[in-house]
Amino acid sequence: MTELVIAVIFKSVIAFAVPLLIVPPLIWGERRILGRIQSRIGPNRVGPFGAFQTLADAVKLLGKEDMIPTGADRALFVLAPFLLLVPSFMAWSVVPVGTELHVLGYTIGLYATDLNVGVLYIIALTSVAVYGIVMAGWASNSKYALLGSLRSSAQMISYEIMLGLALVGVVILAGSLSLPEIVRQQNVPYAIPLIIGCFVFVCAALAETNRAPFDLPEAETELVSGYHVEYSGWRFSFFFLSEYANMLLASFLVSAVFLGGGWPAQFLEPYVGHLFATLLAVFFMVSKVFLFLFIYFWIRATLPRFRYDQMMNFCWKVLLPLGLLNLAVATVLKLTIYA
Amino acid sequence: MSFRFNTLVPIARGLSVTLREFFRSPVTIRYPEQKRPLSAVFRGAVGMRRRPDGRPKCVGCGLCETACPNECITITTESNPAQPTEKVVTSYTLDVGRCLFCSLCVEACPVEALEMTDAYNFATDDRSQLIYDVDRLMDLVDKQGKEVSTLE
Repeated sequence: MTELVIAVIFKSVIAFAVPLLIVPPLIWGERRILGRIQSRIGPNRVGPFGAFQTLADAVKLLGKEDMIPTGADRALFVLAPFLLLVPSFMAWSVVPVGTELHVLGYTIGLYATDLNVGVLYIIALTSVAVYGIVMAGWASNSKYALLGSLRSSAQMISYEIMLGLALVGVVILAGSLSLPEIVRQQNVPYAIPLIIGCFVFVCAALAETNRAPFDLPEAETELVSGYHVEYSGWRFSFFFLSEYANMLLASFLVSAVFLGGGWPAQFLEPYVGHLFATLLAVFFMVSKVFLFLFIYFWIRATLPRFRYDQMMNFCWKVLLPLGLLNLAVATVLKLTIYA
Repeated sequence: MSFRFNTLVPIARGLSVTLREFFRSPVTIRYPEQKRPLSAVFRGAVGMRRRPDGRPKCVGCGLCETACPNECITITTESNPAQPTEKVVTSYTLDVGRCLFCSLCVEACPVEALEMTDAYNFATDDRSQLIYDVDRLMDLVDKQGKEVSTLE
């Protein structure tokens, strides 16, 4: 595969910039959608329809005092936000927005890298984020932060297994751990044969990104705000940014792995030409991502937070059996229809 | 298994409620720009009516001053040498900051000089600004129904 050096650099920049650029409007969108669901307007003061609200908040956060509490473990306290943010940005390098674009004799992949262990890479990086949360909670020298981080370590480690389990079914069917290859394999989105796996994945992704109704590590009403309660200013904004970047990543993953990425644009290629079909594929992919983000907000607006035992029961007594069932379904399908 | 399938039913119902609310328009009234229509019998600040020639309708009898439970009305009068049977009102002030909008003064007035207007926005950073003189009280009546819409 011939790839232009410029294209590689450009894609790397995009892979880094996408979470940074999408997260502020995403937070604004979430607040507007939550507002509508709660019969109110939401932020509407800064800029058109309040669209610059997040930027104003970011400026405010950056202007705040950078506090490190007395008795905090300074080294760990400083390191924790980076340990959380860096993996959530690193994961973007394997996320495909489409498959390949053939233009002027070059083949440009619509992803920063086609890592042949892309799925493993993402699972590995999401595991690193747990350390960031545990370290933040431990280093803060605060009971709320510690409780939040204890909850989240239990939660994220449990749900990570379900996340992996759901992905194993996909990997079996696709026969590859590379995300672009998984997208290419989906003539029918895997959400149809592996509907159970898709359900398990979405639930586990909600829990993994600490979103409602699995927001126990943050639980404003009980733990003030959990593991990052002692953080202020730009250090806090790192936690915030990584949470939303992870959410976006989870939406991209669901769209790529279960909803077939740009499906059904590849079937239109003979009719509309390669370039247009590729654009259409990216459009479909992004639409699916936004659909999932809406579902995230919708669920947040609807469901109250689970109790700790309910959360653990749901993971080990519901998602685990379903995940194993999904694995069985995937195996049977691989030996019959997908053989 | 602690999880029962029928727990999904209330979740689905909840999701449908929130989705329906999403497509409804918000109930928020953006206050300084939008004002909520007042009830037809809304009682705001007391205002002073005018005579046809524009002077206040008050005859200076002082019944409102007596009726007021909070003593927020102060009237000073002097006699008119040309017309000894008539008092001349030299000042009429009403402290809106102390008024409790009971409308006893309106009922006490023998010449119907007072009325309850729809004015409710008196906010100021100086208490002395809340003591309305007769011109401001007449102004409240003049502006009646012009700034806020009233429900039928």
